[in-house]
This record gives sequence, structure tokens and C-alpha cells, in this order.
Amino acid sequence: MPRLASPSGARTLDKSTNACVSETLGDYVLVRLSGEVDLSWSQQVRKAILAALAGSNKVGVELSAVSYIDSSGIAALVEGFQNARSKNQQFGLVAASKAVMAVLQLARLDRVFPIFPDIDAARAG
Amino acid sequence: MVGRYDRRNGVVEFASAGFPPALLHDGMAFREIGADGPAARHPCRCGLHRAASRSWHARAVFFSDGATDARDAQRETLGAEGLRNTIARHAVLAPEARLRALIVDLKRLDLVDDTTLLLLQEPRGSTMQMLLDMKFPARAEEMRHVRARLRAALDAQEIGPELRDRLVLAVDEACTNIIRHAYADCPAGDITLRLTRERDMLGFELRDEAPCVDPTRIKPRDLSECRAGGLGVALIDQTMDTWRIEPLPGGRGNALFMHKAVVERGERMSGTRMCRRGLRSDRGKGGAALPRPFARKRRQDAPSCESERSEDIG
Repeated sequence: MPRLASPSGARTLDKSTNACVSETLGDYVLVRLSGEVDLSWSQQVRKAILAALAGSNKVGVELSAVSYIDSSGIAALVEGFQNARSKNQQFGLVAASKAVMAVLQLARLDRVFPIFPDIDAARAG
Repeated sequence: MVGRYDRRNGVVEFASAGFPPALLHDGMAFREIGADGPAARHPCRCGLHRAASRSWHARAVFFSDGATDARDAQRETLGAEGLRNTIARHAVLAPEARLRALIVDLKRLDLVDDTTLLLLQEPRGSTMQMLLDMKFPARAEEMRHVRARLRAALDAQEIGPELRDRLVLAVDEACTNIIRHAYADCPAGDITLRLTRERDMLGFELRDEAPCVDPTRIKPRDLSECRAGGLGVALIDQTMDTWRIEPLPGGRGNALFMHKAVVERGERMSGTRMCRRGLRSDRGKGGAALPRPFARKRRQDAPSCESERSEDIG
């Protein structure tokens, strides 16, 4: 079972473990994911992203420790992005891993999402 | 039509009256055979051995004009070029599967005349290897283990990591579609996954025990649409050279067949190049649209995300 959101989540996520941890950094909420994001828990990822958007106008999803993502995981990101746009909120992907970028490119979404190399760039918008 | 095939030298001799010229396909190009003269007096000869290449066994396709006269919804005929495109599109399949796929494509059109197809290909011997054969419960929690097994099987074939990951994703998407949709209205059963290799061709076969689906309803979505759902089939379509779904006899169960041509690591995907040659146009000479999901994969621009929010995940 994946580890789920907490306001003071661990700083380091392990690529082999499914986890979804939300961290508050001032006015910015960072949803950090790790492991293999697939149908078995992508609904929980979706809820975490939507919850973050409900609590902050600036949300990022950190993906450096994601070793695999399927279309249900991508759908959770797309829904977060569309939700944020509809409310004029800031939403971006942070430090997307090679595995995530490959799927985004395959789905032709790599030019749709704002993608930032690190959290500082994401917070700067 | 009457003819004979000599296995010793690979020569085909035939005569026909009123049939269109047969097509000799060497994997890269077509050549018409039997187009000349009164056939009964001048039987045509062609050598399948000579037309074969290292990777491809030449094959001859004989057909009645009912095949080229097949019409689409706009009453436009498939035409000779459309038929060639259809043949080329399935060139990577084994003979029996190829003939079945051709028939499926033609039956999606309106057949206005008697239609006969004959495929002649030299036996290549049984070189198919079974690389993976596993059965697992149709549950999302199983997929991590399935992906690991599939990844290992592809690694053993020295498939490069980039292609390997795309193939694993495509199979995973197919399985999750079975889990979410095929078994949606009935108790979840099992999924059988088989991975085979015949020369440079990887074959992926997925079987379920769910109620039969209508294959014409399974289509890749347009990737220029930015929305949350329906991405799985598009990812399969982007990755595989060919794929098709067949309901199993008896009203229960479905089989999904997917193929991908590969070569040794570091080389180009020659089979893919060949296959896409046949996909150069998705409209035949007569303008007949090829049935999806076999239509050509067009390069699309980045999607616009101006569309409405979707609740559909997956």
C-alpha cells in the first residue's frame, strides 16, 4: 500500500516504494510521488492533487522518484492541471524523471504541462 | 483460376481468366504477376525463392475483383492501391493471422461482389519462441508483478530500454483496460499474457474471460485532445506496429493481438520501417478510408488543453 499524504512528509522518497506525500512550503504545496504510479493507487494520487489545489493556489507535483507511470497516473496529472487552469491557479510538474518524461512525450503532453527542473524554479513560476 | 506451386524450387505457375493480376510482395514492394495475355495459353510463372530476402519470405496474394471493388461509407472503392496498402499493413503478421486480418478489414467495407483471397507463402518452419506465458487475476494490484516479469523477458531478448519500457506500458495499458472495462459488469476473472518471438517479430497476446467486446468500438483517441481519460488505447497504437481485438467464439472472452518488429540492440527497427511503408497513405486510390485502428498514425502537434475538465480517469 502506498504511503499517503501528510503535511510534514519525509524529505527523501524511495523509487521502489509507492508513496504520495504533500509538503507545504510557504504558500506552495508540493505533492511528492514515488514508485510506480498505476491503476492500483492513481485515484489516491488524484485525490491528493485535488486536495492540494483546494488548499493552495500554487501546487507542484514532484516526480523525480517515479519509476513508472501509466495512463491513469497521467490522467490524474491532467485533471489537476485542468482544474488549476479553470480556477486560475498555478500548477506544474517538478523534476520529472526520465520514465515520466518518456510517457509525457509519447502522449504529446510534454509541451502542455509547465515542467520545472526543481522546486525553486517551480516556486518562482 | 488454376495453378500449381512447386515446393522444391518455389515456382508458382498459374492461369486465370478474368481475375486481376496477382501481387507478389517481397516485404518492401509489390509486383504484379499474371497481367499479360490470354492466361490459359500463357500460364504465368513466378519464383517465390528469388523474391525472398534474408528477413522476408515472399508471398503472393491472389484476389478477385470483389476485393478492389469493396466500398466505404461514401461508396468509394478500395481500389488496387488501397488493397496494396491493406496487404502491406498486415505484412508483419504470420500468414494465417494476416489473412484473417485482411478479411476483417475487407468485411468492414461494403463487399459488392463475390470476394476471394488466396495467400501463398513458403513455409518458414517453426521458429516461434514462447518467451512468457502467464495467467493472473484481473486486478490492478497484480500489474506491478506482471510488468516486472515482462520487463525481464524483454531484457533477456536484449530489447533496448526505451523500447522495452514502451512495450511494457502498452501491455500494461491493455491489461488495465481489460480490468476496468471488459470485466466492469461481471466478476473479475483472469488474464492470460503470452509473449512470443518469431525472427524479428515480437507478438503479445492477451486473453480474458469477460463478455465479448465490439472491436469497432475500441479506437485510439486523437492525441491532440488534452483530456484525462481514454489515453490507454492511444498509447498502444503509438507503440505497436499492429494490433487487433477478436471476440472469442461462444460469446465470452476476447483476445488482443499486438505485434512489434524489433532487431538487435543498437540497430534500427527495420520491420517498423517496412510496416509504415504500407501506411504511407490512409486513403486508397479510390479514396477508400482504411478502417481504424489500422489507419496511419499521423504526427500531431501538441494538444491544446482548453477542453473541459473530465472526471474520466484512465
